[in-house]
Amino acid sequence: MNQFVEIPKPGMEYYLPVAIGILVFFVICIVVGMRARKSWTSYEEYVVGHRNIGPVVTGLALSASWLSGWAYLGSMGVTYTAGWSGMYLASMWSLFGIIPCLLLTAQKLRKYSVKLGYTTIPEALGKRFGSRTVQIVAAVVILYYYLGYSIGQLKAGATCWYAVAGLSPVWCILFSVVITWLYLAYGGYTGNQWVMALQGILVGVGAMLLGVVALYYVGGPAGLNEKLVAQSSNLVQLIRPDLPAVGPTQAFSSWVGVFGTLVLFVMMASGFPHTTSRFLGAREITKKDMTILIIMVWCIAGFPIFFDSITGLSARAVFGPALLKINPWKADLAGPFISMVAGGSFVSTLYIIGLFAAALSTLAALVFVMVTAVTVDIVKAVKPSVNDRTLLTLGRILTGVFVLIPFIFTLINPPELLAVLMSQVGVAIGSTFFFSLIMSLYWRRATAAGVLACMIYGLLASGIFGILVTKKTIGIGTVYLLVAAGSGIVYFLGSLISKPPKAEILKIIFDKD
Amino acid sequence: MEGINPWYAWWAIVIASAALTLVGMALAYRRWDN
Repeated sequence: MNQFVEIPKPGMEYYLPVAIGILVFFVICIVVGMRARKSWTSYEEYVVGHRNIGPVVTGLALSASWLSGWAYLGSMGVTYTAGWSGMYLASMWSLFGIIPCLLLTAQKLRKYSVKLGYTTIPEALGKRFGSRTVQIVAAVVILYYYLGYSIGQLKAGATCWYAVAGLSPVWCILFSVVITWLYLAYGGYTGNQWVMALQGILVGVGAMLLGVVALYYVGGPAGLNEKLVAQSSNLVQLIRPDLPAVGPTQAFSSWVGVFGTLVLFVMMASGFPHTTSRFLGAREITKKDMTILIIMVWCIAGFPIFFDSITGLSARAVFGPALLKINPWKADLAGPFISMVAGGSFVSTLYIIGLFAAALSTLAALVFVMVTAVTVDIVKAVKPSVNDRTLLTLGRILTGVFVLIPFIFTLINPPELLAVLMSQVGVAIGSTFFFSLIMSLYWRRATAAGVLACMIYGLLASGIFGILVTKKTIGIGTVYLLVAAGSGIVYFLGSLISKPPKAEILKIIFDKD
Repeated sequence: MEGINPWYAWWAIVIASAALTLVGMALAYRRWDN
């Protein structure tokens, strides 16, 4: 007799509540986002709001922008495939990046944004170093990375929709990008921040509920391990030396790989410009505000995400390795299917809404950063006389272009290795901005040359090492370490051997008022 | 690492995250400038 539960079949039982739930979700997003459409009177206010957003909304939006479709689908797929040793790559280290991001970055970045009058991350760098070149190069680097990074964002939604509804995801995904365009184009930063806060709540509730229900379904902590051991003792190992030590599996097969995943999450969560941008529109951050921010982050990107690993493991315990044979989604089906068998239509509906919330909030944050990189950091930096109306029109058109690109790539060429694709680009973005932006908030000796060298290194290293991982010449964890450490070395050395920054710039930034 | 219950490692990461949060807050709040 087969010891595993039968794979659920999509049908009306799941489709109807999910379709209604997603529709309600879209309506709420549009209502909330469009409420901000008349809250701005200049392009600057459109880009950064009134810098008066409180810590609850900021904390929820930060968590939502950080958690992508990976947190809902990819993470669960990793532990489903590798067992417990997959938990390191399955977002378990998230707080090791987000907490330093909050404590090191939030207050200073927000304070300097008022003092120096910047509205975007590239502009922050430009003003920090008194260099328009740094601003423009940072904008180009962000565009390059984020175009690649955004491509995978809709795949999670498409996969999950197909698994649960059994229908083509085209209309659902198209509808979601149109909604995202509307509230981004008309609600600006403030509208996006409000929608992301709402999405953050849904992300947290969905992931937490599914994790608890799935664990209960498999018989609790002991039941989970018993069922995994019955399949293979490898599934309950903390590392898997039986897997190759080179290529993507290094993240599970050696302690170097595991350490690499820790560094990856520290760099990504603290360095991503689309997460640190959440602080630019915040009100002045007091200790009390910071405490609230931290509580919000723990509620959304802490407890619920710790359960991601457990959800994936529960799916393995329930279905066995059967999902690995279902092309092209394979392990990505772990989350949707366990939500259906363990939680029924109610939990699967909440799960899929949470997934769309996670994917769309990250996509919206990426798109807004890309749009402002072009309008503020390239067009306006090159031609300061350009008027607000032109920037707004250009911004709205670009928003449409940037949401359509991932939509098209989801349809014509779904990137199968979501994990590899995202983490390769992720470590480069994270490392580049961890040093260029965050370290430069503290280190006076940092220079424009050091920052430019760091950016160029990130571009070259992620490309070259990425190819070597694909060819299984080196391990993925080693790449994380080489990209991160190399970015730091190049940044510090490049700064130290170049001319020290001008005293008048440092005085404006670092001296107390 | 054979024989170690992986739940202990899971809890260790959760507790380490909490410790990092509390220590980080304590250090950051001592130098808060407003």
